[in-house]
Parts: sequence; C-alpha cells; structure tokens
Amino acid sequence: MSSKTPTDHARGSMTPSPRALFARTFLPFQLWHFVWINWRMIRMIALSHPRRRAPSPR
Amino acid sequence: MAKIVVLGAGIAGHTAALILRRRLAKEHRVTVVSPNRLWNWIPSNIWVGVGEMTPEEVTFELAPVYKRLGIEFRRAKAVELHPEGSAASPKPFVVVESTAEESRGERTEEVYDYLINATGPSLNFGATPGLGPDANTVSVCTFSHAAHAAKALAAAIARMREGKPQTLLVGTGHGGCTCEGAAFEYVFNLEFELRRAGVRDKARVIFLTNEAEIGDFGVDGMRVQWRGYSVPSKVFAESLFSERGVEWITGAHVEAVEPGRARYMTLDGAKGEVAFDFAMLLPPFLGADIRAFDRAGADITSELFLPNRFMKVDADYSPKPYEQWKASDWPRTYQTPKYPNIFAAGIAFAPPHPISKPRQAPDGTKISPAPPRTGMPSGIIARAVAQSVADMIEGAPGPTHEASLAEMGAACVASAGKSFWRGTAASMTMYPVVPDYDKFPGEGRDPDYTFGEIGTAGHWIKHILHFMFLYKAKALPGWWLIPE
Repeated sequence: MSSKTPTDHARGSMTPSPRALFARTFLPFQLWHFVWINWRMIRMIALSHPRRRAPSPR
Repeated sequence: MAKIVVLGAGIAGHTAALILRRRLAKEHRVTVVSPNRLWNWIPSNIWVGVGEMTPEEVTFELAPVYKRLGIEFRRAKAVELHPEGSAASPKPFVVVESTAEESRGERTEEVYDYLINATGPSLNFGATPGLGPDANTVSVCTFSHAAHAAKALAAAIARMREGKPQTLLVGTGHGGCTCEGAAFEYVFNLEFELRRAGVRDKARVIFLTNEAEIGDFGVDGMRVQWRGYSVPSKVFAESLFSERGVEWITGAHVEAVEPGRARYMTLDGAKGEVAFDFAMLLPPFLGADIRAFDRAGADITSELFLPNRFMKVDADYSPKPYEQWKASDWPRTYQTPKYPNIFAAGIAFAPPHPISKPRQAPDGTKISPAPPRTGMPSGIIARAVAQSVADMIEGAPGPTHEASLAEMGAACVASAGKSFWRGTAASMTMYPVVPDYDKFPGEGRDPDYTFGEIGTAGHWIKHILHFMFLYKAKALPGWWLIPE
C-alpha cells in the first residue's frame, strides 16, 4: 500500500547470498533442477487434467 | 450431423476446436470464428516486448492449419447471440461481423447445434484515461502491442546511452486488473535488458500494482515449502524485486495517465503520482461485446452474461463475503444453466468471485486483482468442454467432463531474462488454483504441489514450452500427446 525506496527494500526483504546467486546459473546444479522441476510440473499437470464426471446417483 | 461453432481462436478456442475435430467423425462440422488471422503464443509476448523475439516468432496463420484439419474458419467477431433462434430461423445462431479485408463489416448468421464461447478478453484501456498504446503507455497484451513496447524501450535505452537518466514504470493500469504475472515477468525482463545494455545505472525502475502485496498474483498469494518453512510468496517476490533494485508501489489504482505522468490512489486513500519516460501498464479486461436475444427478439444479455460481459456458467454467483467463499462456488462443466448447448471456456467464463481478498480504498474504489485464467487452466477447461460436447453429440445426456479451478493446478514459468546461459525464470506450481480450505486447512493448497524457485533451468523450460506449444497449436504430428 505504499511506495518504498531501494533502501527500504534492502532493509525489509530477504536477499540471496552469493552462493544462492551462483547456484542459479551453475550448469550442473541447473541441469539437475531442470529434471526436478519438470518432474514436479508433470505430476501437477497429470493431476490437473479433466476428469470424467462420476455418474449421477439414480 | 452436428455443427459446433467455436467463438475465438486463442488458447481455449483453438484447443477446443482441435480436440473436437480429432474426436468427431467428419460428418460433423467444426467452425471457428475469430477476428484474428494469426494465432499468438501470448506468454512469449513478454520477449517481443523487450525486443528479444519478433512477432513472427510468436504467431502463425490459422487458415492453413484449419484447412488441413477440415475446420471451417470465419474471420469475424460475434456480435449477437440468438440461442433460441428467431421467427425466421428455428435453429440457434450467432450473428458474426466480418473482419476480413475483403468483406469488413458484413454480417452473417452462423447456425449451430453447440456453441463454445472462447472469446477471451476485450482490453479495456478506456477504463483509465490516458491508458494504452493509442495514448500514453505501452502494453504487451498482443504481439503488435509488444512490438510497439519494444520500440519504446529501445528508444529509452538509446536516451540512457546518451547519458540521460530515465524512469521506467511497469505494472497494472487500473485497480481491477488481472494477469499481474505478465507485468511481473515484463519488469524483470526489462531490467535484464537494461543490464545487458549497460545502462542499468541510468534507470529507475518502478513496479506499480493493484495487488495488496507483491506476489499475490490474483490468487491470494500462495505459500511455498522452503527448507522446512512454509514461506509466503510475498517474501520470495519482494526478494526478487529487492535484489534487482526495482522499487514497488502496491495496492494502487491508476486514476489517469498523462504524457509522462501517472496519477494513482492507494488502498489507504493516499494519492500519488509517478513521472515516467517509459510506461508499460496492463489494462483491465472485459468480456467480448455480444448481445443476446430470445426467439421474440427481446434482449436477454443479462441472463447469459454478467455486467463485465463474461458468460455465466455452472458457478454459484450469489453474492457472499470473502469468509464464505467456497471451492464449490467455482464452475465444473462450464455449461450455461439456461442453454445446455452453450459452453464458455478460458477467459470468457464469468468467475463467481475473485480469488484474492477483495479490498477497497476509503472512497469505495475497488483495488483488488481479478482472477487470472492463464494458458494452462484455459487449455484444460477447453479440453473438458470439447470432450463433453463430443460426448453429448454422441449421445451423452449432459457434460461428461469437468475441470474446476478448485481441483486444478497451474504451472507458471515467469521469465526474468532471456539468455541461454545467464537468463533465469521463476518456476512456480500451485495446486489448486482456487484455495480449498476444507481440503487443505490453513493454507488452502497442497504443500506437496505448491513450490517456486528461480534459475536458468526455468528459462530453458520457458523456451522449450514456447516451441512445444507452437508445435501443438500448429497441429503437427503427435500434437495431441502434448498436454495443456
């Protein structure tokens, strides 16, 4: 609900460590995460696709 | 023989048409009515908007695809719906107005047995004076808007190279906007381009949003599991803004945009203004402008559509306070209650209420995100509707498939910079889209399926999705194996 300056941001926000920033583009780590993210997304996509309606009770 | 008319050829309409054509025997006719000649993979418009892709890379001609598949194509927009037919025509029909160059403005009637309304959004730039590419801001809602935005951004970068500091404003242009995720993606891509151009130190970047908190995304935010903690999306989103030095203004309704200046009001009633050199502000959405008439010619638009022009379906539209909202309020089959042969898919269906907590300023101005209906849910809804319609044509007494947003997840890959080695994207999934506090007490969502992280792997996935969904939309061999 308000405007913040960059200084406010630095004070109030979580910021990544140098290690976290490095991991973001570190190839072996990202290759592993590519597989991991795809696996998580595929599970969620499978769960979300349309399902056949249960027959209405007579 | 049945005739199915699909209004719209966006993600929902195109998906429904392809599935119907594949499912149904050739004796049945599938007709798509769309004012647009091109199909557009909208998620990649973000990259067009920063000059990293061309409009040609995110679009293709619909007519050859439909011709190959045996789908009839009318370049037109629907203007009238006659679900009971008329005195002269016993069958229901829709009046369409041509948008093709050779017959622009000509009106014809499309008779149907089943109608799927997938008309998508009408971009309501008029809701805020001075908003839009014809006025004082740019947009990335269409590929042509995005191309225009890229030119404006390139001009701002050129000015910075000459040593002139610039203020770049990105966000939502009205208190009732949706698709905050698109603005979120755009501001990070823009910031990435500024760094790539070596002018980041000359730029002040401001994100202005109608969300009460960064990371709300119109879904009331979410909580992601992280190292033993359940962390609000606000924490992660603010971190991304903070590390990039992007300022933010939340809970804001833009009242007017003048050349180089946006005036806004925040949820606490405070008024403010931002001077800018470049502004990409998204518009609020309305449904397509279609009037409906009964057999006698009386106007029944309000029976089929809400005042925001989205189509009423099998949802619970009774007004309720936020505390009483239920997952069961949300539609399951997308069939209209009054006319069983009419369905709405994608953005065209009317949500029963928002997902985010409704908020307003002291003067009553509503400043709250509308529910997003992004590509994946739109495609899944279209699949459910197409399968139901195909089954009904083959004898089923009613809809056979359902796809409630309260039982459906969403996967979102939000780009934060386009580069194979240095680009990143935030990969997020949540399940379900609409929180279900009965099934998942406390958080409303399944913690096993709700996660988020940023990295280059996300960028690769976003790029692969670009090619995969263009392949699918072109209905190339095996397209139907690719899920929505």
